[in-house]
Amino acid sequence: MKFKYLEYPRQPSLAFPDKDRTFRPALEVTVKHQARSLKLICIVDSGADMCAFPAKVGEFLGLEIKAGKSEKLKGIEGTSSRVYYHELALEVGGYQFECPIGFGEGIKFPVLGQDGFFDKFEVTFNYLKKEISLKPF
Amino acid sequence: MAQLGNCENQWAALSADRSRVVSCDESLERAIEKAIELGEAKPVLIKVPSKDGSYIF
Repeated sequence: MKFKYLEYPRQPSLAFPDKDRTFRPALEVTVKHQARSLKLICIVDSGADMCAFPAKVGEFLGLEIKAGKSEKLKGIEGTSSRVYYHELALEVGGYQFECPIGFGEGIKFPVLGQDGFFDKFEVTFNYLKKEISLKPF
Repeated sequence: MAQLGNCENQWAALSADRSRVVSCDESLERAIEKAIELGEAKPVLIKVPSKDGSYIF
């Protein structure tokens, strides 16, 4: 399965005065919980140990967020956020799988990380083609 | 892909084919509600980052 990177707007900076857009490896994922579902754009983040979504996503799906088992997720700038894990059904490109997702107030963007996503697919990033490919294991 | 520039730091609800932004809101739920009111029954939701600077997610 191949998916194009998504184009995001950005402001040029002193460091990068010609850069007015950013391409990111992001996928459309359908997230399901009981009778509810949501189509959500998620960043494919090979540097993330786990999959993590903003708490509001879980609330929309009807989850009791704090009923999940919790841990702290730490970011590269040294901050940490408490997340609560729930196993949910995800679908990408017609392929369905179960994935533990950490939901937390401090998670600002949905990310797909090593455990839950990279353990399901061989993932190839091709920046020149602005393309990500997924091959289920 | 829809142009996201007006939805900085908000949730954008996109059309099912992701060609246009249907609604934006700081609230995920409100962005979805507005999209449904505007006729998009199954919007695609994206949290739009700030345009200022680069990200390491």
